[in-house]
Amino acid sequence: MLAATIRALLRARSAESEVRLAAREWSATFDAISDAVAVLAPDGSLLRANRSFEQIFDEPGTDRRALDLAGVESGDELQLGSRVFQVRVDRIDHEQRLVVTLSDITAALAVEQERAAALATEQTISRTLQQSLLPERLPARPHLELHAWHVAAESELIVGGDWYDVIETPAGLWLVMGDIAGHGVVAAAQAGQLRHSMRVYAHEGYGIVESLDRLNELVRTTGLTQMATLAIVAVDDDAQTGRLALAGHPPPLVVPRAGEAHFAESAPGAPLGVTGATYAESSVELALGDRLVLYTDGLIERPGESIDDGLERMRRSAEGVDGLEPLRAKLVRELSGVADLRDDVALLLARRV
Amino acid sequence: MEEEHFNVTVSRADGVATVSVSGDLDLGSADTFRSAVDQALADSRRLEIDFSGLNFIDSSGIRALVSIHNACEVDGYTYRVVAVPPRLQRTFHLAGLDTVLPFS
Repeated sequence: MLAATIRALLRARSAESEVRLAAREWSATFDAISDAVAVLAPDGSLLRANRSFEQIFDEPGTDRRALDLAGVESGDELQLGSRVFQVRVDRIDHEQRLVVTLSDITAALAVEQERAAALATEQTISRTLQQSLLPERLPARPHLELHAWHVAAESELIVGGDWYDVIETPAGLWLVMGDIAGHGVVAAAQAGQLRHSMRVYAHEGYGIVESLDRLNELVRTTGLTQMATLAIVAVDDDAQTGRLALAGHPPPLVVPRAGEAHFAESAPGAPLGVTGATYAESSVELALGDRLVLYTDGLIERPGESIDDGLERMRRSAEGVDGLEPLRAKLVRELSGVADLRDDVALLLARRV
Repeated sequence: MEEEHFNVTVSRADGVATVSVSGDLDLGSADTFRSAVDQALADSRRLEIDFSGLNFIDSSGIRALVSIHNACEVDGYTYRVVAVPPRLQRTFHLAGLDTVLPFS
């Protein structure tokens, strides 16, 4: 009987010391946590707070502050002085106790804000650069209707070396479509230089073939870029005839008012940047209502597929739609795969009216 | 992946280095092709690019070819491109390369 009592007492004492040990462990852990943790009663009064918590609040245990905490929910962000905390609320024992944990996310937020600011800056640079590549407005001519589109209109993050231009010359308009090998801001900056050089040659009175010769010489001697392709169509003021020259660029598509779409007869010249390249001119006749489509290879090139397949797909896609904007929309929709607009694409369309 | 779709070998005979290409010459293989040509030109002044096994060439492949052409012109190497499969001749024609590059 006595022995049994002693054993029971010893067991109780051992259990008691285990409980004390556990309490000390818990207390040390509670204070060691860098997050601020407080235990609240259902009425919001503060029952217990760890060291980090007390450091945040100058006057620990005041009812006012505890009541503030009772109103917070998990996921809230709490601004205390210059610091921001993320709140987590654990309800235990049927809401008899609320454990509120505050994690300091000030530093993480600052990093996030810096990143967002950097992205915004990058987008502004990209947008500005891209805009400098393209004419602000297309010139109006009585006999030629124009419409242009660049992928940057759909996706601001795509910056690349595709550009178009419409240059006004005394004899008519030059429709220019160009593509610099490569992507990103470097390609875009190079494209800007080519675009403006071409404008200079046009304004100085050179023809399209002479301009390509000069541009090729410029690219070759300055190493401005490794390679670029370009298509130019110089359209007369009455819009009946266009003169076409190509530098490594696929030929424009002619979509007649009546009859099948076809690619303009051309004399392909080598890309800009090729030593010894020569260029030649051919002509395109436009009947009333005929449309002309200049484009970049982002619209026709697919991995593992021959260029002819890509061209044929484009030719078929151009059938059965009126107007310039609807035609452009159909081509972009069917050929570039809008869900996957990763490559640079530009389109310039003209119609004799 | 690249090995499956592209292969390039360099052989030498009578002072001519022949770079034979098979498969797809594209973004993934253009640099390998360019390196093989540089290696071939290191100890040969005459280069032959054999495209008989070429299946496909994209704008990156054309760019590599243009840079080889320019390097040969500048440094005075003799080179030619042989055995372009008929269905790829049109690609080279559309790119305007048949007006300048020595195809045979």
